[in-house]
Amino acid sequence: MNRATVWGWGDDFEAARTNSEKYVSKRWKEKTKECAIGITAIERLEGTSFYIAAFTSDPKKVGDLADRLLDVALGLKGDIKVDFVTIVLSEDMISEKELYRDSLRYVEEEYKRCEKALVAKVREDPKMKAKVQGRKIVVIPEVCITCELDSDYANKVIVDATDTNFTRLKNFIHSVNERLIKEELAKGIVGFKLTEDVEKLKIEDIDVEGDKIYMWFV
Amino acid sequence: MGGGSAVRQCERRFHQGKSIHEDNSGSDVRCKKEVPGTNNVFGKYVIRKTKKGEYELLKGGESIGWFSVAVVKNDRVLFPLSQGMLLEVSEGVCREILTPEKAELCGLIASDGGMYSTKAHPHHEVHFISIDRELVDRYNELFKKIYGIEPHLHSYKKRGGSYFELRTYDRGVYFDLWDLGTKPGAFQFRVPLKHLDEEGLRRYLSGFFSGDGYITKDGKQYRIGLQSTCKDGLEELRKAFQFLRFHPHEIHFWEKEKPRWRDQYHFSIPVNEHMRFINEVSTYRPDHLKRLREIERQYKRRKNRD
Repeated sequence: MNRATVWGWGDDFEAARTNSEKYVSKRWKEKTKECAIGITAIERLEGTSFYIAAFTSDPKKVGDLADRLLDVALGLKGDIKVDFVTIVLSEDMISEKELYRDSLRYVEEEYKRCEKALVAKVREDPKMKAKVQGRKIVVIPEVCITCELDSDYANKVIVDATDTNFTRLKNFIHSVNERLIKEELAKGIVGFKLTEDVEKLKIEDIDVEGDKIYMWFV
Repeated sequence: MGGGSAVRQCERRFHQGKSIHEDNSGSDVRCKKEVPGTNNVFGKYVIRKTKKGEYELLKGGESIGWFSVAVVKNDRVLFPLSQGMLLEVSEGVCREILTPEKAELCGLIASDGGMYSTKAHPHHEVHFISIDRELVDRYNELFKKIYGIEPHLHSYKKRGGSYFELRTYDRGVYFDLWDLGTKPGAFQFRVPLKHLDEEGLRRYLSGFFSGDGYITKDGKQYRIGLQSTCKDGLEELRKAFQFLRFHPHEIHFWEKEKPRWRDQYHFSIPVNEHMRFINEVSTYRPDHLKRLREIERQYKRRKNRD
């Protein structure tokens, strides 16, 4: 698997296309089956970290995809900083392993289950007992939603975003998807997946206000 | 070999070059009072006022430099140097530190700026990119004050997004920032901790936060944090907060299993230190400022209630 960063914040915007094309012309071998073009970015007011990736088996499309994905990211609402455009060349069809097929309703239910599990975890924690007694626990966990989109132009498009506010996260994913579909980089949504690990999530910060206790989990 | 340049360098740094006079003409809010006596001892260092009214810095009886201005601040003396630097002399320590303005400029460059001097960009480029006009104006103001150069402003649209970009192509500026380790490599930054006093640390953090900081709102609750793809730099930012007696949370990694992603790191400031953050660090970004004011209002409301 060959990987390269073809663009970074501060580079000329046109360099995403030209550098991708240069890289592919040198590194695409007969054995290469697929290329993943990834955008690593953040919406900086809310701190929503996100990734967009498109997969293609056509080396001629790589430069165009890098350029258009960068445009999609930069055109999103808010203060977007694209950190990198990355290219991965693979001898396998890596997109075939990228399956995120849950419904949005299921993801919402999963999130609610995660919230409840975290509240229970806090209540059961002997160190937290005195602090939470008589108070309503509000958990704010950092979670990730991944979305799979099908595409006529690419093999597949994946959007992945992380935030502590579930509603904002859903809206953000929705705005990225909308833009991808409008720009004809994607055709429609295949499904979603919520990534959270109640066991791994740890309390980062606590704020007590009246009868409520707010807890951030990362 | 190199004698001429060494003399020039020495004059520029210690013997009041052109930029020093520019520095002196401005209002240096940090200066409390001038050295009153003719001889002041700071550990190994002695500061002597000459007949011409200059200040001579001596170590072990040997002269290190002459300065037209010397300012005492608590237990240290500061001598203005060129290009936004100060010579700080305190008990047994003599070091070059950044002025608060230069510290802020370095913070801005570390977050949203960049430095190029490669085969593809051989012109010692220093740039800064932002969507906020206010931030660009601030960068411009600091840059002009420190280096006496006005960066070229470019504004352009990239399908939906509007950007302002400031660029300079000056070898001297490039190497001055390079020597401080502002941007040691592609997509990296370092905090010049050795060259920052407390005020410098605050202003550096303010500059960085204006670029790569975030203030999320979860219901009525806020979370203030900093993010970067450069973990080493972020660790130094955390240290800078610790030097200022903040208690930043651990660095957290937005963990991704897939190899196509580049890593992103972040850490946040505890809720009970938000007011200190507002008072000591703050930001120049309008959308950030709006949120910080909301946090301030919320804090006052709570305080009144309690």
